[in-house]
Amino acid sequence: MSIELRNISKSFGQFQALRGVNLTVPDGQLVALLGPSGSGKTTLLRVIAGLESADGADKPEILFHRQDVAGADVRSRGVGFVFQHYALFRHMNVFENIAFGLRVRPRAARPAEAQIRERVRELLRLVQLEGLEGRFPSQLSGGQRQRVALARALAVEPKILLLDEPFGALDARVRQDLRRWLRRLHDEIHVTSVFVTHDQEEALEVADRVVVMNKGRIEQEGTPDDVFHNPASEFVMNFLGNVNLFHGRVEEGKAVLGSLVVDSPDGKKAPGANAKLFVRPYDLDIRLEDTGGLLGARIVRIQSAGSVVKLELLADGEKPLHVELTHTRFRELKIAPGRRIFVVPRDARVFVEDYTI
Amino acid sequence: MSFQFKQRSVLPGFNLTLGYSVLYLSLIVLLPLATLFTRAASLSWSEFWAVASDSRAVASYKLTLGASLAGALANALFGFIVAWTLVRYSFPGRKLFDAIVDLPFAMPTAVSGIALTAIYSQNGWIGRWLEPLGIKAAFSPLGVTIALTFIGLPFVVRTLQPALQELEIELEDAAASLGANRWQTFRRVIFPALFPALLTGFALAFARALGEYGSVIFIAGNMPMKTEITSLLIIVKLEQYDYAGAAAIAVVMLVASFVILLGVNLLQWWFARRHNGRG
Repeated sequence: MSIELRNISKSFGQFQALRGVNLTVPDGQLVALLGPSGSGKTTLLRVIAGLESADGADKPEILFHRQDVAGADVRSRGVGFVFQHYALFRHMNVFENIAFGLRVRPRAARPAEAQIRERVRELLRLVQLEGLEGRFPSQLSGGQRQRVALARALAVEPKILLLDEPFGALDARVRQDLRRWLRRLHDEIHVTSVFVTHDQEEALEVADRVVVMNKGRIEQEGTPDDVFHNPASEFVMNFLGNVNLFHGRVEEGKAVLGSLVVDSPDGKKAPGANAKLFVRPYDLDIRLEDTGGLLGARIVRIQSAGSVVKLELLADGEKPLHVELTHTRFRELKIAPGRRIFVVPRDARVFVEDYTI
Repeated sequence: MSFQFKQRSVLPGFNLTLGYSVLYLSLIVLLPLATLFTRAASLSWSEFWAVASDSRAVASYKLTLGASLAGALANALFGFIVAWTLVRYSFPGRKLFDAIVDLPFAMPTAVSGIALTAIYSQNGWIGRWLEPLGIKAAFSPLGVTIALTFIGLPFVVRTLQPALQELEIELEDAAASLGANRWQTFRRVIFPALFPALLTGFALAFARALGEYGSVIFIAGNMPMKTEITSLLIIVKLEQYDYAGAAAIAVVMLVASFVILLGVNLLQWWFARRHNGRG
């Protein structure tokens, strides 16, 4: 079931959480809402669920499968919602928590006790919690609680599954396992899902599409590859991983940053404008000799434990830089801290500032 | 030889704290109660039974237990609403409202008794409207119930407030997203979560009402067989220098309230076991 949102605004008193958001989630996809805290991602999720209502001057529209549901409340939207802190019912055991959504149905639509049992057992198998149906939430680990919350949301056969920071409260190891598990689960059940996260790695790894949000607006939307390799704005570039920033000017279609010169197609439009150059740590290469147009730097620290070798440099003008090299390249170079070297960007993104002073 | 600490703690050892607790409880609670039993024991069994089952005493037990129960139940209901309002909503004067809840704790009981009597008597502010309806508030069992409700309110509100504050609003959102209507959310999610605290508040209000004296005697009218509470009957006996008789009635009340409170505790224990998987 697809989701379409148009003109979604929401304010809490003076604070504007959402500013005219438009978004389409295709049927059967797993979409991540990614952004820093206060970017409006959780509010957007709650608006989709019907736990908050959109406001603003333009008429907000929320369509599920091309049906307008803006007027419907959370009970009748048929969404499953997994809360950040799980919101499990503490006085009910795992079985009763999962069965809750079935038991509160109107008498005519309520399944028989045997069917409820069967459905709960099926869900326990799906979330790999067989044998724990008699436990209470207080007797479960964080990851287990998370899966109970998911099973409870799935019990009502939602057409849309919404997850608020699903892995936020878990430790790093459990998080990794659980997000791969969630991806597999989604491939199995194929329900249109939206999850909120502030962790870019999580969003890029799990989602089919990533929606990057900032200050109540959508900055960029696309596949993980898209947003990572073609960031639409400085914000997206910055938010999706470490980045080195250089300041410079635009001259004749090129960005000039001290001794570095980089092509900039945008630069033709605004000659003389300020330019910002963003380079990912793994897009910086190191040369031992200055062959012209390179940036001189000194190695401060080398950290070679890990999948890549991380270097901390201090470029001319006391500017700190981060570089990541493969182990092969690092062994070729034979460099040590304190040595003077030269840096060249292999790939970079230039953002020209809109205004000139 | 090896010596193992049970658990490291900043407070002094287990022996010292247990010893202190036992001594304190003995001096403050058990010793006076034991005296009560020895006093009552100065009567022979048949004398004791005669005093304890005297029709005037039995009438007073019925009134005291009945009115205390009614008062505690009324508090459980209305205290719940007051606590809910105080925790869930913010409105001008909330702090003041919150402070007023404690007044029945702070006021001398005789003062509240006189105030209640003034309001509920035939020509009082409320009593004058009840009179034409055939309801006699002051100087009747109803008056006793009103006084016992008055003094018990803070117990229910104050025990429920922290439990309510801990109850996340997310739970209600979760129930709604699963399709529960408001009544189902209340009955299946909110109420069971608050029930242990409500029960504690109810037990405290009930226990307080059983022993109440000051605020009741003014509004009750103290007619033997009709509106005489047990505490008053004990005072009457004492004034007649019938110490053994007073002690006998006191023992009956003591045992009755102990059994009731024990029952409440058992209920609470059972509920906790059933709903949290813990004892």
